[in-house]
Amino acid sequence: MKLYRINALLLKYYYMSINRLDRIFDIVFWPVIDIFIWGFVSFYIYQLSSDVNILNMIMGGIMMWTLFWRAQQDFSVYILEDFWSRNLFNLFASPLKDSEFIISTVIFGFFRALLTFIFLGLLSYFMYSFNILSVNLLGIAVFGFSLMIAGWAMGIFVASLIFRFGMRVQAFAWSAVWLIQPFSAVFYPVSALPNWAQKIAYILPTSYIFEGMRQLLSGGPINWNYFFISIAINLVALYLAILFFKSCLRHARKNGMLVHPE
Amino acid sequence: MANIIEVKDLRKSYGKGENKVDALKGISFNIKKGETFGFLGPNGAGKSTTINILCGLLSKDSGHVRIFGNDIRKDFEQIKQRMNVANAYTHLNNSLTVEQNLRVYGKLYGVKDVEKKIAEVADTFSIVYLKKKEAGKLSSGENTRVCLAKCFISDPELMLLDEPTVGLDPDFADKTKEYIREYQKTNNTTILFTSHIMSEVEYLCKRILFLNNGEVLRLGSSRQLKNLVKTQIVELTLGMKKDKALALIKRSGGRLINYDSEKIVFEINQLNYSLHDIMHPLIKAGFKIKDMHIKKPTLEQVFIKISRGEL
Repeated sequence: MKLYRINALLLKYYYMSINRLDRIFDIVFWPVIDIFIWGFVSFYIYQLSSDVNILNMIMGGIMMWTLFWRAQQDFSVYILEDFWSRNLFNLFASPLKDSEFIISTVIFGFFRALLTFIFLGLLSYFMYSFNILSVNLLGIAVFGFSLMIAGWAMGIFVASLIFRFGMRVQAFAWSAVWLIQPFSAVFYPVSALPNWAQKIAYILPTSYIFEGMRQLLSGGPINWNYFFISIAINLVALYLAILFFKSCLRHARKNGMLVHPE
Repeated sequence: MANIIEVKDLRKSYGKGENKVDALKGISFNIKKGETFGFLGPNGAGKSTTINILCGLLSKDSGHVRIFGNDIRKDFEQIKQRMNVANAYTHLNNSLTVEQNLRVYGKLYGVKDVEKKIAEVADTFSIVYLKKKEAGKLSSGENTRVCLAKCFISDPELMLLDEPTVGLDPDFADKTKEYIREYQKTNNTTILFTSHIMSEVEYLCKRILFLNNGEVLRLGSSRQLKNLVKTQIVELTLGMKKDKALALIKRSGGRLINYDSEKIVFEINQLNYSLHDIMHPLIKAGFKIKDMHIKKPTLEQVFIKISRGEL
């Protein structure tokens, strides 16, 4: 693995971000819309019930969900950009290794997600006086880290599907996370789900993370149990996603997808 | 002289069952260090499939491919570091400017002084004015020049140039051809070159391989290939009585290709007839020959005849 090749791809992603207004919009637009809509709703409920937790739960939920969403979507969309450009030929004809490709995309996604998180943190503070820093910071960091791994695993999985089936599955890049959101208990506890949905929730790392986050937002301690379960599931998911990615790239090399992306 | 590329019994197919297409049916060839090697063949012959396998974009079904003495399955990173590819039908990243793309690719290939190299290739391929333009907004000719610049930026020891002059105007295509030749001589670069422009292939390549339907049909220098053509084209200008002359030419073994009030163009199969066999009866019959041109076989003729299975 060569650092200069990872740097080269980071530079490419940076250029892609600053050249395209929609890529900058990605960082702020939808998260801000979420903050506005859910923020106003929760603020309204808070005024009705005077339950400060409602506001915290929803604000915290949105901010953390954004971390996961960004991590997944950036990975998939930046790969799609190379499909759309028909740039895969030149990229994969270069000495770039598959592992360098994954690592650089993950690193860049991390920084974009962090930027979005900070931006939302500031916005929710100034709009709703919700201070994410007042929550257990170590807890935020560990659950945030676990959430990012979940996002990368999902991003790699979706990117694999794109390499396997081409651009006909590109809609997954935007929609995949929403398939698991209802079961991830982002804004409500797992116990609020029907029994069949709870079974799905328990195999998703995100449900443990958001349950743990809710405890933190209520002023509770870090639930290390939830953290370790989520990390364990995430690491397995990440490992399987990487294996799947390699398998799909092998398939892409076999059927010519890198030469004629469709 | 060491072989830079060694290909032995290379096979590749696409699809399954009834839809299976054998793109390469066991081709073998070697390319020596410092050689410019031409790849010719009609569309779908297997040229691009071979190049795509050589640059790691496509996996082979079977066969052996070694580049710089290394197995492409195991040592691709080292191999790709020393080679580069230009294909006019591909693009760089659309949302990056030309300069940004070249910088990214320069860094990917580990080019030491990237900015200096960008300036150098931009000047060589006349793309200085395009540096700030987004790659997605380039015309096809501009895109071809940028792809060439990307290929030359890493000073590769091996270049795979797949129709690198497509979309270029004749003047720039000619300059590019000259540049490739000069660059190759100066740097002793090994080049695998494909084009449908026969004059380019003839000018640049020491040896030429003809592929058709995934099989190697012929391999040799352009002279050797042209010698395969055993027919001669003769363009004759006569003074009078053309109808009788046409009949005489036919009777003597000539195959009429074209004629008008001035000229008669015919072909002689040199395996069976000589020019004398045809000209002698004409002169004997009293025809005055105003002018005569004997056309040597061209690589284009060779291409057409091989493609049609006539050679």
